Amino acid sequence: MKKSPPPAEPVRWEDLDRVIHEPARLAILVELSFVEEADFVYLMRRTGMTKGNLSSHMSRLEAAGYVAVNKGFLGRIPQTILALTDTGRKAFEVYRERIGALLASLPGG
Amino acid sequence: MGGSDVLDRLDKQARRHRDDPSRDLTVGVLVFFLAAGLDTGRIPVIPLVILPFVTTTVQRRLIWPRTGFARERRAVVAETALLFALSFLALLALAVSVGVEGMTGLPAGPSGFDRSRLVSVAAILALPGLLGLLAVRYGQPRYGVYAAGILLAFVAGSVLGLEARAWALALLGLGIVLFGGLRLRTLLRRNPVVAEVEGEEEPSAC
Repeated sequence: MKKSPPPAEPVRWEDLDRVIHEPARLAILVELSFVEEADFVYLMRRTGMTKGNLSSHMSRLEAAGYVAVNKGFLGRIPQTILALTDTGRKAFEVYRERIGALLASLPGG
Repeated sequence: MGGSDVLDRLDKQARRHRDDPSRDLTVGVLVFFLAAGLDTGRIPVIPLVILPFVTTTVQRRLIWPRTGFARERRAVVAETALLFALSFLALLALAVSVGVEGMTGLPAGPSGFDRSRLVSVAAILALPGLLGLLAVRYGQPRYGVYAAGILLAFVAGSVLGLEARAWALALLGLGIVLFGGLRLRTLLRRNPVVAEVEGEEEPSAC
């Protein structure tokens, strides 16, 4: 008879990645997860954030190693291209699993 | 609603955002030149080679500064290209086996093996498949309408005659270009250029 795998450790709120848990940064990561790469304007349009707001969250995500930022020009207009890094993609997947498990463990979840 | 459902919905919204009028313009021009190729028996190589550059220029100069730029995932692009290539090759093989005359009603030419028309026929018939895929992927029924229009024009040619088919496809192509132009005009009017740096924003072009 096969042994059932040991029950997984319950996920705690403090296990959630604080860098991703912030709604604006989560929105950026979600949008970047749908595409190979996207520019600053695309993310502004999709998330509804202001330039300053998006810029500060972008810096935080870049410092965490979750997004790669490349600056260039689209014609004469400055263009910043963002893409999820492998670390960012993994961290986002782990976050999804953990938040899903946490919400499912709530009464009525 | 589960987390995956929310992500799916957001993904669909994002895909709709990325669906820009340059696709309509490209499809319309493609249909027009393929119809011309079917009629004249010559593959319009130069317009078809130039088309991607023109499309990219329109996107870079007019569309992306307003909507933002996003590159589709490699897997999605590869899947689309593979599906189109496979359906094109399958139709080309079918066209070769039954002959241009059997497939389209067009005279096969003096050699009996009209390569230009075979390529045009296969490309025109593979296009509705690609458009159907776009309709599903971007949640835009208009691509399905284009696909139905192409098939209808093609089938109608068997009844109304060969010249009518070429005209119908050419007019359909022009119609799609016109519709794409109107969509582009609306996009330019509604979306001003957004610059990343303060003070670089420009008013709407129209």
